[in-house]
Amino acid sequence: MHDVRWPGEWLRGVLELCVLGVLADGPTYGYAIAGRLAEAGLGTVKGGTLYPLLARLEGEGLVTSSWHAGAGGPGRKYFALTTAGRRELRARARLWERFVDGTWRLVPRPEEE
Amino acid sequence: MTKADDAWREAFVLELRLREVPGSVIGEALAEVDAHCADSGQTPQEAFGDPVRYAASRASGRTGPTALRRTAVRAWWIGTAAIVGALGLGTGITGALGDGVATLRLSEVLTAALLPLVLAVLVAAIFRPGMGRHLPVLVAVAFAVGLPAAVAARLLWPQEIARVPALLVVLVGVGALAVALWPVLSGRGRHDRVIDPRTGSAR
Repeated sequence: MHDVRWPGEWLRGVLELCVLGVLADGPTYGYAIAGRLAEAGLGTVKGGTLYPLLARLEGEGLVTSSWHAGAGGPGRKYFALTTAGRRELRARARLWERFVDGTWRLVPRPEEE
Repeated sequence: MTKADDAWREAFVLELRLREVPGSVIGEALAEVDAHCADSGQTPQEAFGDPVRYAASRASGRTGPTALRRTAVRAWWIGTAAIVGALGLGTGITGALGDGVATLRLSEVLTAALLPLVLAVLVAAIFRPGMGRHLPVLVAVAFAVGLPAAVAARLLWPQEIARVPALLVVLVGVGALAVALWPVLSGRGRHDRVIDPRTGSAR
């Protein structure tokens, strides 16, 4: 699953939802979020994509951020879901479920081909 | 940190500056780059790609309709204050040197009301990110268009509409000029340093 190259527009469409989903497990920092996305098989999400997205989520009030000193390193910026962020995640998760269900009504399942 | 990394950071900061992103936001973005590169072992170029393009994506939203409207509104009130100041001083001093009474003409009211509106519409039509550095040119163009327009208005609509104590007009003129020059006099923008969010100090 790790070496799949997803069509770019799929990732763009679902990345925000996935980042909100990662943050639902607790506050964490950018590189760890990228790691979780890679682990889930979504591929390498570059900093250049991830941080503008996080800044956008923060601007919409769905996420807050704070800096924590690191041992020897330059410190890390932790991102956390706000109450509005949790609400938004639940709403989008419901939408996503309906979206995927709708897609499966049109796309033949590979095993049924 | 290598020379290439420094060059990347410089290009990134310069582009954000040209897009008039506040220093605190620039500091935040730079610290994110530091932290991410320290964690991933990548260079800024590898993790964030081209610095100018990354700056553009970090600044997006700042040059959208809201920012444009804010710039146009600012051009309007600064333009109004500058013209009221210039006309007030001109008319007021002329009157004070004469019989102590200043004559306000229709042309002056029309100039003060319409020229700043034209200026604001022009700004909204042509202003693009990074144009802050062309500000002196914009000001020069505004004067080159505004002065002949004021003279033409004077010839077209010379009707007197009020006679006011000259000293009062001079005072209003000085006040309006102070308002127009306030953004420069207060040094706004000049002290907008890049602040590192981790230390709270300038970097």
